[in-house]
Amino acid sequence: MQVTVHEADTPGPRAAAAAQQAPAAEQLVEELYRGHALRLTRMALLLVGDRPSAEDVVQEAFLGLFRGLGRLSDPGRAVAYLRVSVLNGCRSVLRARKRARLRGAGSEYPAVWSAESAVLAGEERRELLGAIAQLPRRQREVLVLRYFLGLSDSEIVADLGVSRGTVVSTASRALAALAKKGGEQA
Amino acid sequence: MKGLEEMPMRAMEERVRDAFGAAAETVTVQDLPGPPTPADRSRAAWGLRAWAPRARLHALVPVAAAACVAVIVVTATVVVPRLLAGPAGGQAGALAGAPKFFAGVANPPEHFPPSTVLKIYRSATGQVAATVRPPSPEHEFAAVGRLGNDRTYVAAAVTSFGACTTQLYRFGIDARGRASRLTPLSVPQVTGIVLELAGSADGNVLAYTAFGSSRCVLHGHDQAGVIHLATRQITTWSYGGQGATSFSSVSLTADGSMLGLASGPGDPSGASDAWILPTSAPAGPLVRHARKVLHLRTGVYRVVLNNTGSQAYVETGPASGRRGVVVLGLYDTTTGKRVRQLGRLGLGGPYLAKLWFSLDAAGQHLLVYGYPASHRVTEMNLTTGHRASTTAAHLFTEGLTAAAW
Repeated sequence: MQVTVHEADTPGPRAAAAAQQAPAAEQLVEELYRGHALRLTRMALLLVGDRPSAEDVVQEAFLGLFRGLGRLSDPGRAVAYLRVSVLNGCRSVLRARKRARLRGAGSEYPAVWSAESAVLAGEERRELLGAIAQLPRRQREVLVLRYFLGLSDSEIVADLGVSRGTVVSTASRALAALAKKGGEQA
Repeated sequence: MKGLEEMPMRAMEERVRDAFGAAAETVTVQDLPGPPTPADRSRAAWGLRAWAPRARLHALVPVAAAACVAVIVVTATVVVPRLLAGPAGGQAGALAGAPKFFAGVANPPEHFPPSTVLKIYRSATGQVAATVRPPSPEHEFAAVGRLGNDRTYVAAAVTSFGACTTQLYRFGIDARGRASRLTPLSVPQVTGIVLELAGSADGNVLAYTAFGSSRCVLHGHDQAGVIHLATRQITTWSYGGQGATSFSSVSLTADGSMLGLASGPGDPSGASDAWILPTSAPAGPLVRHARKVLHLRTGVYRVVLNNTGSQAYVETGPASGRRGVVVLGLYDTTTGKRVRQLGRLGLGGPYLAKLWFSLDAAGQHLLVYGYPASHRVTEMNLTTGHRASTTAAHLFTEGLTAAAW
């Protein structure tokens, strides 16, 4: 991963540094929010399924940026930092849901592609998104980064911390699995 | 054959793109909650969770809508006029006898990625008299302090805010506020990122606070230090007590013989102890060599020694715990008793107020700036109590983070 955030400092100096840089940080975070929040929220939606969770993940990512801005070795990589934060946040949400399911609790919000949610038009799309949701985590992430965000393979390599070969093969396997599933259903 | 095999994959790719696009469009820009607020930022900066759980937020939508209306009304009718008028009892412009200029570290919004410059501001208007660029494109300014008279300053520059050392530079300004070239200060390398700088009025001693990330020698701890410029000797002190503690608001007596600083856990309640120690004390734990002047549960945010060290100007949190207000008082450094309250500062409101002070070389005036009204600087005559404020929008947009006069 190319985004380098130095190890956490003690709360004192971190807070002091953050306070020193605060007005500029606010400005920067606001600009980044205006430019990227919608896209990141949509990306999170595709990974976690529901809008409230996606919004929370993105908000946490921007708050995390405040915390980490002073320690971000290359502030020009802030967007990549946010993207990785959102990916990590989505993983946390999905892990929490898995634990909740094991305890017998259901998901708080229906997925946007579920039958309960009436916001998405097209049965075929619903089925496809439902199938994508069943794919292994890395395959889902590669699909979203590649076909929604339109990232290059090298950008995906940087975000996921895997080799270029892994990105290509993961995407191919994911598409093949979806095609097979589509064929079985047809 | 290959082309035929690729066909289903290409078709699947298109279907995936189409489905992703359709699902993504169910979120619109109107759905977004907006960027984290300054209050969220403050809490985030202190490592606290600022984002309430979604379910509770949804339940609070009607309440929040009503609150927003109330905030707008109050802002329009109360806060804006107060902002324009300055603090109670204040006047516009500069105070007689106060320094005509102050130097500040600014982070202009047009800089992306963010980078800092030094600016020389006119005290009376807040307008920029000069801009000083970092010594190299790789450097950023981290702090600035006055050294000696009100025309000489020392600036701290780092190559990144994750760096392990700080370089110090001296520069001066002329009668029109124009700055001279930066000259490297001939002192040994300073360990950590310097957060604050203060020079003695006689120009012989420089004090600083610094921190280092866990990669550096300081291992995530704060350090206070003094540099005796004649001998180039650096003496440093770490906290040495129980728990993690940050240092803030370093200051010196006019002759550089005594150092004052605040320490605390670094949470929103702010630093809680004020310390004073001789700059000739040996290096080592602060708790062993320094004398604790004051301890307050409501927080000791800033400690600025007067020129003799007999008294200190201390910023504390209000006893009521009200956010948005801080109390400035004059304390006796021998007894730790408050001599008098100089005033309550800040706009009130929900945000944590944090003000920074800079004492002029004569020890007669304080420059006050900070949150939440970070577009305003206030001068205070410490003898008469008179205040004068200037409001300049660019002070906020440029993010004045450290100032010296």
